[in-house]
Amino acid sequence: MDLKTAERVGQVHREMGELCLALKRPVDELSVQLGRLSAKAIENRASDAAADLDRMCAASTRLQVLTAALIGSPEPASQEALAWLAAHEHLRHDLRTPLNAVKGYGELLMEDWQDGDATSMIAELRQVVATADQLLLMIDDHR
Amino acid sequence: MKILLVEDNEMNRDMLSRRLVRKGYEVVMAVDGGEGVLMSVSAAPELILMDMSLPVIDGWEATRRIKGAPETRHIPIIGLTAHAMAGDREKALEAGCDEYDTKPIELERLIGKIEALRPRAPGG
Repeated sequence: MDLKTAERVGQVHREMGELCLALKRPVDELSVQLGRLSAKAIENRASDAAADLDRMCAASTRLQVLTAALIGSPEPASQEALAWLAAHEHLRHDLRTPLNAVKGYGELLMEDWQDGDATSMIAELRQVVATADQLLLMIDDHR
Repeated sequence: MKILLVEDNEMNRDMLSRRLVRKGYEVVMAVDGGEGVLMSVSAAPELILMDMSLPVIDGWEATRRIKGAPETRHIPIIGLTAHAMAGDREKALEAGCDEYDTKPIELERLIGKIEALRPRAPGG
């Protein structure tokens, strides 16, 4: 590995580690909010929403896995550095994808529920979408 | 209006197609650029929403092929990416996209772009 590549690996590792550390708290909060929303949906017998809530929870879990893997991880060994760099240079894109899913399904459910009697679920849903928006901004702003 | 949505991510495909169907559009889907190119002919869409980061053939190349074929070059294409990076818009337009939008999708903004590109009826 040449010096330039080694510097690039070090830079990406540092930046992505800092970003994931900054994201940890709101990512965990998103997971908690989705748990509350799912519980409310069961309470309100909103079984039509179960599949979409499952997808949102799966996306949130994916986000937790991605961020947790980077926090405090050692810099990759030189023989693994190029593969590591290829996998992580687009981490911002990989982090945005599950967030786009959470936000999109959230807005879809909002449309489903807005004409019904689902005030408490809509309040939880708004929080989920707001947290997803906040995380998307953090990913864009953290340079 | 029939829209071809070319998107590899299952969740994004499901979510966006359902939201567009609710708004009255007919949506057909392709999961990679190669299938998108084939369906631009076989499904005869009136507009294409093209994710640019796609497997097999990426969205830029799929757009170039669709715009390079006499039977499909008239179909408007809106390029979609999850990158909000400078240069992406120019890159998509250079490949032949008529418009460009970024994810997360703001549905009303996207619909505004779709309607602006809606093919006019002959004589209309």
